[in-house]
Amino acid sequence: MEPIRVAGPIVTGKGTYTEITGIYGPASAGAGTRVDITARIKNLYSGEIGIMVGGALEYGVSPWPAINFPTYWANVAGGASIDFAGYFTMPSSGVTLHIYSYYYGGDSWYFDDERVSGISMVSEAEFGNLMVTYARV
Amino acid sequence: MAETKTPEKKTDWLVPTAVVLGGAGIAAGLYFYMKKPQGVDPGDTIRARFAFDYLGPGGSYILLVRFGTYRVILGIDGFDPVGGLDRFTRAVNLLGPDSYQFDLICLIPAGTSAGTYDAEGSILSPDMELGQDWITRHFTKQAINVRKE
Repeated sequence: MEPIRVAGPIVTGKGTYTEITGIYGPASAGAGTRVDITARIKNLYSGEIGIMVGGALEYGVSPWPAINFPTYWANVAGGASIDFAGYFTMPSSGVTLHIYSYYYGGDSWYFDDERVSGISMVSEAEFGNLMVTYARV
Repeated sequence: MAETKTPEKKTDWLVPTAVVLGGAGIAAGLYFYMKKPQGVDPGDTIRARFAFDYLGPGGSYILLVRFGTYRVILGIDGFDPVGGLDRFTRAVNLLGPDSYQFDLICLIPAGTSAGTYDAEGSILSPDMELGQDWITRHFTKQAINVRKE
């Protein structure tokens, strides 16, 4: 998949122990379609740590709907990166994705980094009266 | 005063009835002929004609045709494509708001199993994944009937 364009600034350059280095997915999607994305998070620490991903969609509804990550945490070797696959259903407007990373501190997860990206809406409303007919040539 | 009574003219309904019934029969025959899926042999080509109105500012899009089985589960449209019949595409460039018509030629490959196939015609943006995403789509039940080789 192609990197999606960044709709806003990186909120935090990098976290203490983790850095969201990429968000991958389509640049645009039609309303009601499933959108698959990948969040890549790097372990900045020298040793293995637990890293968790989270995500939410910002498009004018509150609270922000969550992005589904079937596998949302993993132990990652020092300096290594991990890809978390997630998905959501495209609403009827463009969305801003907020991706969060957390590290495990022995007793709980601690927020560490955030990055935002956007997916624009391809409007079905731009197309009307689609008819497809089939004939042998 | 006594008058002579002109006898009522008896209408002959036979001819108009025959005309109406004959016309209805022809119309029904034409309807069922049109409804009949296109009979094709493996190796034949099918023309999928897309016709639609576009209201956007212009851009590049992909037309995709897949043949397989259309289904509705819990009110949601679904489509199960058949391998080899699932990736007929054409890139088109729309200049702006207008009515458009494009033909997409689909070669039915040799070895395609005989049977009747539904069709899905969809419009995608170039960055969308074929078969996974679409902007809009149109289903045709029993679009083609592939004959035995």
